[in-house]
Amino acid sequence: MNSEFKHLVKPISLIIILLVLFLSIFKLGFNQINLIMAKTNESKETQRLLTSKISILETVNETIANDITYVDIALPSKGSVLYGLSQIKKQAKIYNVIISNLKAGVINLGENGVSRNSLTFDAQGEYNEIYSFLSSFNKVLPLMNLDKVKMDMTDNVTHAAVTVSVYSADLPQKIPSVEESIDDFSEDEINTLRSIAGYELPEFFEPTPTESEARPNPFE
Amino acid sequence: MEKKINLIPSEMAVPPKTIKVGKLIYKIATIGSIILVMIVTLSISAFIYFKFELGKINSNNDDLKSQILVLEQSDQKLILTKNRLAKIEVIKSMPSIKDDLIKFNDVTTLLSTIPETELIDVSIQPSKTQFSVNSKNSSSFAEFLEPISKLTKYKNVILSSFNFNQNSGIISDLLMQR
Repeated sequence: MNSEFKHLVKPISLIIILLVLFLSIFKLGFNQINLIMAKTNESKETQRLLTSKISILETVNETIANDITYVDIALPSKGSVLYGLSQIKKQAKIYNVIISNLKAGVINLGENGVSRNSLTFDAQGEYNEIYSFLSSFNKVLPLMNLDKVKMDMTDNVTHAAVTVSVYSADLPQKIPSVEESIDDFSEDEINTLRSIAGYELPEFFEPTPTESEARPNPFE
Repeated sequence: MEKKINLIPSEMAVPPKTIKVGKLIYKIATIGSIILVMIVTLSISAFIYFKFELGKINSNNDDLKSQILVLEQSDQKLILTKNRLAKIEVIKSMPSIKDDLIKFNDVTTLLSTIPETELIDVSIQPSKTQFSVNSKNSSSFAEFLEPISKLTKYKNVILSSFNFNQNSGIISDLLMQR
């Protein structure tokens, strides 16, 4: 029995060493390979994302070459009240409406980063002209909402007390990282851009071409 | 004939069965070693391949990132425009009398077709329009009331007050809700 055991000690030890080596290589080797494969896949995903981002950015100028200034003025970061007052006076002149008691209210910080200012004024003129004047606020920049109107028709003259809202919003404070994905413009966004480009600008604002103009970085 | 002499005592001799088992284990160990070497070689090759591949992709990504930095102005433009557009949608969804004003035009058009009837005043708020009408006599009042109650653009048409005066005629206040 003793000699049998002695004879088998060497091969059995060899098998045990082999098994230990197998297990160690499996654990270490496969872990390393899995790790590097995961990193490779991650890099491939980043590559796909960056490629799509470049193709989107290359077409941005085609979509918003001239519309950016309209968007800026549609919802300015500041000066919305001045633009609004200018627009009210401009439209009043167009529709032969007399404006008085023009007042700006206190700014209201609303949700979603949009602040609202109320502008109140009295308007006087013929009913049809007042109606056209009020309707014109649907197609002007900056964007304005008619909140309420009270009209009094006496002696063939219409007197209207009007409240409109003008809006402003802060610019985004940080630019997303290079590796962050971006979405191209949706159909709705393109339609909004196109419709805004047809709106009337306030009197003291002229859009400037943006193609070769270097804009200051608003994120710095 | 050559004769083999075994000087080991028979009780100490290894049985042939054990020798066979030993040889079998050696064979298995040899095959196992070959497989182990193959696995190690394959693993190292795979590791080197993926490492090389990763390096290539990462350097490609660095090129792409520098291209994006060149397009930084377009990137800013896109982010700013998208930001504004999202907020413009918020403004569009805010309450306004835009639609009420368009609807009230139907009322004024209708009033202009009815003789001896005139609009005195109107107050338009989101979803709610109140106005007063002066009808010189009962027939013009009836002529006005019939089509106004059938205006489909309004959900409710309420005759909120009704006054008769010898000099001015009938003054009626109406509330229209959508």
